Amino acid sequence: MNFDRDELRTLCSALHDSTISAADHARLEEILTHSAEARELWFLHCDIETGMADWAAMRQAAGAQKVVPFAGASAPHLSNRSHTAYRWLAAAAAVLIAAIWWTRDSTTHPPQETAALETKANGIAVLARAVGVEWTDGVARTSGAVLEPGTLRLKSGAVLVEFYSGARVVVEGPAELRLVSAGEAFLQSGKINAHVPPQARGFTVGSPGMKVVDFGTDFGFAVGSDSAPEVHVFTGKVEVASATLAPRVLNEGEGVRLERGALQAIAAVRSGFLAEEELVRRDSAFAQQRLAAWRETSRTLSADPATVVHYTFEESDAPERRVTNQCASASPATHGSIVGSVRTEGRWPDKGALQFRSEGDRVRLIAPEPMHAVTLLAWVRVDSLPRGQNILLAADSEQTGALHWLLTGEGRLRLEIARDLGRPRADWEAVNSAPFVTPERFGQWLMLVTTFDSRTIRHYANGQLIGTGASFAPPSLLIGAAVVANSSSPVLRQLSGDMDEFAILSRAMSADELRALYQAGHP
Amino acid sequence: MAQPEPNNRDESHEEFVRLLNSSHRQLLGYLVSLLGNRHDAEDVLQRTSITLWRKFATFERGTNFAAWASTVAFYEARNFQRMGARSRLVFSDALLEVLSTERTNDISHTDARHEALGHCMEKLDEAGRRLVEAAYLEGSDIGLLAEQLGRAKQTLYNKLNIIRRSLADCVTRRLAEEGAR
Repeated sequence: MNFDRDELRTLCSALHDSTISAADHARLEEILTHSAEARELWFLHCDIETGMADWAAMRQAAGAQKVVPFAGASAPHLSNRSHTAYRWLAAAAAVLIAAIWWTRDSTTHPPQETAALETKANGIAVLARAVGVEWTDGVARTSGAVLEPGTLRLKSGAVLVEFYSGARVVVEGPAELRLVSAGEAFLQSGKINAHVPPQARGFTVGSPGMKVVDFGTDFGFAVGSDSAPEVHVFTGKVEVASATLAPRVLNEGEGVRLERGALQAIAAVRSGFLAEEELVRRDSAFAQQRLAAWRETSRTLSADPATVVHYTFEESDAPERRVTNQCASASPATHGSIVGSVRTEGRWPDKGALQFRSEGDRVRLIAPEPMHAVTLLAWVRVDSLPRGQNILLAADSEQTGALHWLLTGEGRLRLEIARDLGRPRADWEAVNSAPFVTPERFGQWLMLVTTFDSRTIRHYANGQLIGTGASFAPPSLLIGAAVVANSSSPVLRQLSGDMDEFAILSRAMSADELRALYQAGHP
Repeated sequence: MAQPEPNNRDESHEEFVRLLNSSHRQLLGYLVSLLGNRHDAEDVLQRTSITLWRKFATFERGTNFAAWASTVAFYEARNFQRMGARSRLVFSDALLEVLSTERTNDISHTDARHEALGHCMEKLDEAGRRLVEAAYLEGSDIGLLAEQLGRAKQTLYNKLNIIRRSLADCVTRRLAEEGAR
């Protein structure tokens, strides 16, 4: 059979990129079926493909990757990411098999693994707490985010930054603090309260006027836009220096103010600075408030006449392993049955959630009523996306109108609707969103929503539209017997992460409604 | 299902891990040629490794592990296509059989191709390297790079196609030169 090498290579490339059209795929299949020479070229290109992926992973591991400031990955999750990535393996074949992937040398490590390590390597501090913070740079950082060198700009609220050196710094907004390294920061403006344990001695905070070098202590540092900068020493001692003045040591209870180029002695006033204990108290009060606000909104959602299923995962576990459908008119079948999963902490310390980790973990439900429009909503904290398909909800049926809702390996939201075209198996029409659940968002609570109004599929993340696409109009949409966070298919497709709210509505919620829902529900 | 005796388990496991590691590249390359893309191939390889361990007792020591493993991988790939990737474009079973047979012989070239590719990658310019990273690193996105560069996504895919071609030509040339030496 005649074929053009360039044509074949273009087809191969499109297949590798998953951008190939059905017609081109058929053409590729025809060429490969009829020509051994074509198959040889195909094999070569397959090896080039895996080789390029290896090369990219190695280059990244070697540190050539560019620094993205403040990649918001959660610290506790980062530390066990390497375990979670292949947790399914452990479940499937015990610890034995998991070890295989551990013992593989670094050059063949899957890229996502090296990406996680890389993120960790660039971090210099952790955002341990963030209470009522409004960021002026528009980057939404939440507690647990790993901080890389860069500037934190708070309009209001307060945060606790734990530097890798061990220094703990409470920053009160409005403030602008530049993180230089694990042992150094620069206070452009605002107030900080620093606790420096012995192992972090030498921790330095610069400012436009003067610099403070710590010798193991607690001190406050204030840089106002219209007032003179002040240093207050609460315990231990610090050294204060400026470009023009000789270094000066301040002891416990002492303070200085930099006025007209000279240091004036003042008394240290502890109450002028937000203490860590107070921040912790505010944090827990804030969490209580947020939880109360969410509960209120959540009741409204349960009461919506279009709500078919609403799980909040707040009930206690005994005696049955059941997830209660909070919707007022709930039929018994719509309560979920928990298989495998265990309960865990949700968006707030007192909020429940379900943990999906191993191959068997799932919630089974039956939502028998056919629908003409739908909203699928889930609050999830994704550990990793080790598979090409990571299911949020999968109908057992393959009838026309059956739904699959999932995250792809690249972190795209995807809705698939079954369509019977007379072939032996159903075709699944699908619309993807842009990638959203990418590694820097692993470990954070995200609100994922997909709506379908019988014409257009819309994907939302954290209340923002992230993708739309047209779909054929099935006579009705079917969920029926279905699985949350897993599927009945023998192919491994379960979600790796936690879920603390899940809802199905028989109408397409609007962008405004979803934005409001996110505002009321984000942690 | 035959499982190794408990007292032989550790030893057997070590050997299994060693064999699987040394064939990883070949098996992945084998699966890419059946499934068409790396992500699905990784998926199926992970499933395959579980089955391989379960069946490891039936593997005849001293014979070709990669060849034995690829027969298991073949069934996993076909199963994956039938069950997991219904919505995707897949090769017919007839073509899969042909590809599998020929690829099993071809796979011995994989390591040499990868080595040659390492040299060829060095000739790529920085823009090309960035593009390869955007396309091949987990969590990266070619759409994002297109946005940053102010180019259409398809332009970048076209560029990637050209890079793959020139790399394939470079690898072929290098291997021919080595063979001639």
